[in-house]
Amino acid sequence: MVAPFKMTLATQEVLRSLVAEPAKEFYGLEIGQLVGLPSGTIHPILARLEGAGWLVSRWEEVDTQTEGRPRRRYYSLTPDGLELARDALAVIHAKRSGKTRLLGRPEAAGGVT
Amino acid sequence: MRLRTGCDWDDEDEFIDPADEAEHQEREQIMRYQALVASSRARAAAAAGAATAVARAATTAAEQARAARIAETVVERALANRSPVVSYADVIAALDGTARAGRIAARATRNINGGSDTEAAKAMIRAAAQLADDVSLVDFASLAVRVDQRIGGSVNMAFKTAQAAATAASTAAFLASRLSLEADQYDSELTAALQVVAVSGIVSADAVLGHPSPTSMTRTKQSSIARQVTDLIAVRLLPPQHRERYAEEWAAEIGALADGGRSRTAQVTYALGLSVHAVPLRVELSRPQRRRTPR
Repeated sequence: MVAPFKMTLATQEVLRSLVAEPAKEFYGLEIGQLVGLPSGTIHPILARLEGAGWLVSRWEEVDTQTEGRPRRRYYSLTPDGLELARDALAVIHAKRSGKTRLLGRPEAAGGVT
Repeated sequence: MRLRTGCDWDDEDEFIDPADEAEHQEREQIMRYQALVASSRARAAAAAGAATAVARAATTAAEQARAARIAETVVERALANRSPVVSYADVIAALDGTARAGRIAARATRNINGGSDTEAAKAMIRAAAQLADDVSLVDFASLAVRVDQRIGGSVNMAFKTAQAAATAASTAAFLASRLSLEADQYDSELTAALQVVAVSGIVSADAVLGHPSPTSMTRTKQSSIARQVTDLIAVRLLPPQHRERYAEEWAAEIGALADGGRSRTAQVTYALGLSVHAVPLRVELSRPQRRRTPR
């Protein structure tokens, strides 16, 4: 399956992080730190994935007065998004593996489960 | 699930929103504050430079006054110790000599009329010699008077120089005082400008000055500048319906950085990164096929 948007390397890294822990919710800064992306680059990717329906976001349920800080926005994969992300990453992995075999190099380790 | 078209960020015509007048007005206001602060700074610096120059001129004037007083003393000593030849007594003696020569000449004439030719001739020779001596004395006396005049002129000039130097020193002191007052006034203007900026609530003084103010340094761990960057730049680059959401989301992230012990510089850097990438985010949020709501 082809992704409905440009699957940049940064987007792939974000999806890999989310797919690795599908039940967990992350906020933007957390994802950026996990992936190692510069600040700001994560939000357009999250917006793109959310706009495509792969991600869903919600506000953190805390009392801002008690906590003394604003609410965080948590992101998580939708069930469809999880399936589509796995498929897309698998396709990319397969393409890379094919190119690697054509070049006569051993297949790269890892991939998408 | 229906797949959507690919992502391209080329539609830059969506970036500028002419209807967003408030954003432009606030930017212009910040620019005006920054210009006001820069102007006050420049004028204070110019006043300080001028005060320094005037102080230097005052020092020079004082030195000139001292030099003039020394010159005056030297001239007075020269007058007191000048040669006896050029004294007034010499001039009087020369005049007396001339009168004496005249009397000798009259006596010689009488001798010529009543005496022998030899005695008359001798008397005339003596009178002529005496006149020659007297004439030389008179010339010398006039020279002495001219020398006196020159010395008097030098004394007058020394007095005038001293007077001018004293006036210059006084003027310089006055100018220095006035410029010092102006510098104080510019300082007051600068303070007032910063207060206006602070009261406006649009941007903090440290954001205008480009460095953290003492109050922001002691307030909290969280950088106010980072918050200002996100609120004033990053958030305002987004479509209006998404601003509230991202303002809170990014504020929470900067707060998380502060809670994690990250420096203010790191927080500001993070905020700047958000601002830089607010444009592609705006493009993503402006896509018509988006199905989610902002909140």
